[in-house]
Formats: sequence, C-alpha cells, structure tokens
Amino acid sequence: MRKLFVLLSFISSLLLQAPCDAKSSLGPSFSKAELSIINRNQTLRSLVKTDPKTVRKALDLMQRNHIGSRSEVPGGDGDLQSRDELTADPDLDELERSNPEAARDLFLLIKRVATEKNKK
Amino acid sequence: MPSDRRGKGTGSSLDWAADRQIAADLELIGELRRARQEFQQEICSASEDQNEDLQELLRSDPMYEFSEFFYLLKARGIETADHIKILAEAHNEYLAELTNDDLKMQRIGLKRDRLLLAIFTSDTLPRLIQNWRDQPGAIDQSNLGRLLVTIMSVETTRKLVVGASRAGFLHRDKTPYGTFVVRSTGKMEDVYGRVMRGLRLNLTKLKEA
Repeated sequence: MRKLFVLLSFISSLLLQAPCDAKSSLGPSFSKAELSIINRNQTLRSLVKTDPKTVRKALDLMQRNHIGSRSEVPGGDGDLQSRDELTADPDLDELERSNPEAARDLFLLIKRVATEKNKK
Repeated sequence: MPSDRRGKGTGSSLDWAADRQIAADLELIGELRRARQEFQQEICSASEDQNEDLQELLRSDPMYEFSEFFYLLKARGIETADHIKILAEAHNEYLAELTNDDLKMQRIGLKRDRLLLAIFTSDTLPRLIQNWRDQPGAIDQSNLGRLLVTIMSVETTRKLVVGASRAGFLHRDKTPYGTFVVRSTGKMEDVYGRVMRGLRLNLTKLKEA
C-alpha cells in the first residue's frame, strides 16, 4: 500500500511539473520491454488493468531515472541472471533513494565488527 | 547505533562573518566535489568494458556506495569465515533494532517486511559462511543484497553486480543451485581507496594553509 502511495505521489508531482508524457491520447501502449517491467512488478501488474495511464506515467518516470532494464539485446543485463525472489516490485523499489543515515550506520556496523573480531 | 538523536538538527546558526572559516569551508566543498568526480573518472577508466550504458551505471551514486562497502570490508580486515559470521550477526541485530523503530524506518525509507527478509536465517546464514570459507570474499548475490538492504534496493544491487562483473570488478559464478556467487577482484576497493587517500591528503594541506 505504501508503495502505491509513493508511486501515486511521484505521479502527482509529475502532473504538477510537466505535461503528460503518455505516448497516446487514445490510451497508453507499452513496448515489449515495458511489458516485461510491468510483469515483474506486482504493483504495476495489478494497476495496469484498472489504471494503465498511471502505469504509463510510472514507466516514463522510471525511464527518466534510468530504472528498469529495457534491454532486449542478448547479453543485456536482463538475461544474465535470475532476478531476486525476495522482492515483489524490483524496479519500483529502485525509486526509493539511499539515505545518509543508513550509509553511516553501515559504516559504523563494519567498524564495530572489526573491533569485535580483534578482541577474539 | 542508537537513533534517539538522529534525525534532529543541532538548531545552531552559521557564523557568516567568519571569512576565513567560510573560505576554508568552500575549499572543502571543492575537494569533496573533486573527489567524487575523480572516483567516477577512475572507476570508468578501470572498467574492462567501455560500453556507454555500463559507464553510466559505473558513474551512478549507488556504484560509489557499492565500492565503499567492498573497500570497508577489505580495509577493516573482514577476511575469514568467522569474521563474516560476526558481520552477519551484527547485521541481524541491527535490523532487529530497526524493525522496532518506526520513526527511523520511516526516516530512511524502509519497510519492516523488507528488513525481515534481509535478516540472515538458519537457512541463509550457513550458506553465507560456507561460501566465504570455501573462498574468502565469496558471497551469494542474495546475501550481498541482504547486507546492503539499508542503502540500496535488491534490484540496484543486482544491477551493480552484473555491471561490476562486466567491468571486471567482480568474479561472478553460477552455482549448481542456480544462484550466483560473487567475489571482488579488488579493483573497486583500490579505486575507492586511492580517491579517499588523495582526498585526505588534500584536506590535510587545507588544514595547514
């Protein structure tokens, strides 16, 4: 639910900032590569049936942020390995940004481990 | 890593009349910017593959953090299977604390379910330790994603692993179980370390000036 909220927030901000990026006024269409992104992201998959325009805008946003592999070329990153099974929305998750607090915590965590291993 | 004070500012104001301090601050900003740019140039230059899409990935902010992570492991001497076990246990402890801190989770943009999936379990912990024992530095790609969960998405980790492998920064081998085990070639850490060393030496000169 939060993911959907984040997605809709992004899209709302887009609507305020820029003209619609939808490629057709008759209804959005999706390339083969985009359909593969939709298929592997649970939220987009469920949304495409009821609100394809929102999905279109999400894909445009992702493309601007270089998120979601659109490669259909053999050797592109999509076919080099299986995707992780842990995440329902792998491409949408990428819209969430790294955080300095988390990065510092990781730095301190490794520092703590180094101290602990030296004690043993 | 207590979070009680994190997320709160000091509330103090900057002394804008301190000209020498401001000048030194500006020099510092310049040095930090230069170091980030130098990292991008050096990491791209070190890549065995000069494909433009790959170079774009290597120039990304997550690549910087990815390199920093591998640098920290090496610089802090996380080398043996015992060491990686201590790291995994500390990671689990940290995530457990985090899942009980709603404000912090919100602040760093993470959800409880994702954190819970990133905790090493009785299934995944032995695999982590065994891979490292078989070959120091070798880590299952999913487990790498677990360790990096607070700073990047699993998908970003996957992309970086694939890109770093193409660039010659990681060995990446498919196991009979269909998973991927990765191991650094040492190049990322070297680039990151050289840039940090240069930054530190330049900052020392600034201090002396």
